[in-house]
Amino acid sequence: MKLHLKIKRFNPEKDKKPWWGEYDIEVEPGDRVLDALHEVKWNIDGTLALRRSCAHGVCGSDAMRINGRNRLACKCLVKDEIKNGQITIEPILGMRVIKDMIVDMEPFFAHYRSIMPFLVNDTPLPANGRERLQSPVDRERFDDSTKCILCACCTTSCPSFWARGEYIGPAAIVQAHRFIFDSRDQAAQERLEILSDVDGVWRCRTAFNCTDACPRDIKVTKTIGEVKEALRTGVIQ
Amino acid sequence: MSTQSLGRTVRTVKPIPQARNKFERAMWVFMRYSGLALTFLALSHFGFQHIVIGTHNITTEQTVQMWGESGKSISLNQLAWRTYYMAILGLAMLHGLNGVRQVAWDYIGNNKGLYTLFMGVVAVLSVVVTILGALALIFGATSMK
Repeated sequence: MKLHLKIKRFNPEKDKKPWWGEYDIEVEPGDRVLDALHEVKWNIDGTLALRRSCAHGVCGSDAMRINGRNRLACKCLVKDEIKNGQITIEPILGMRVIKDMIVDMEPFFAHYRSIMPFLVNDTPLPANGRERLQSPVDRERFDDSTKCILCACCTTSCPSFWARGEYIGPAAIVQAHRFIFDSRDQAAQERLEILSDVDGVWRCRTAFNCTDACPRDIKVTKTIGEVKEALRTGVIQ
Repeated sequence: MSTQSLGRTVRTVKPIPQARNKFERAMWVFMRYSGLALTFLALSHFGFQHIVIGTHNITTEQTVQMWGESGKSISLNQLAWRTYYMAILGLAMLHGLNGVRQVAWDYIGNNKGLYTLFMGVVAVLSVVVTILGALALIFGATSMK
């Protein structure tokens, strides 16, 4: 089938402002949007820049705005996205564009690092020297937030983040949730204090864009709500 | 501290000290409850005015009947209607004002002077609009005849 790809191009070293690159290609309906981008890059215009690594929805490096919604290009099929023979592709919003689809992810990772994304437990290891055991019920409590792959689809779909880059963003809150609700972790107090900051969890307006954008189907808005509730009550359960 | 509930570990944390957090936390709770209350208040207002009374029967006379006439004593029924509309007015203004405050912080929060000036103007305008809206609710409606 024929596909008209409209791609937002921008090379700060050459272009004064972004421009639309338009490409007509032949694809199979079951091809992924990433395959269509490869077709352009490999056979039409090699200067097109994009990130992708595993290409199977695990590494989270090919997040982009497809027809106005944040998606992973490797998880979207052309037949599902095509509208009137066309698919529009832009880089994710709210980040500095380095080139075409490649954005500067450093502010995103700075927010991620700020919530201490590692298990904190200073008690001695169990006598047998093996792992700290946890009941299946306690493990299930934070199962959803363990699925995050840090693709930034959620954070860069958030209107609060677009307006204010200082906002810690949904992804960092999901990552904090993963540890706050882990019964083995002992740093919930510190994480909640970080999230109670002026640009922490209270900047969330429950727009639900993050839940729509998440390629791992994490209930992001619900997760943020649980962190807010923990902050309100001081109880983590 | 940790306890068990339904097989799940329950832990508690000490209250978070920042003053701003307490305010934002209170505002979050207020937005949720006021939003819920406004949904029912606004829908019941809409249903009563446009369905029970009927769009073409909404007149000043009908409002005078509901709220009581300015300068005259009011019945318990009229006092209830005034309280109902005062709740809509008060909650809607506070809910909206807090929404504007949050959006203003998003866009101009880094410019403290501009943010304070903008919110000051918005707050003053909100008080003026609320007083204008509340005049008839406090003193009663005036017949146009």
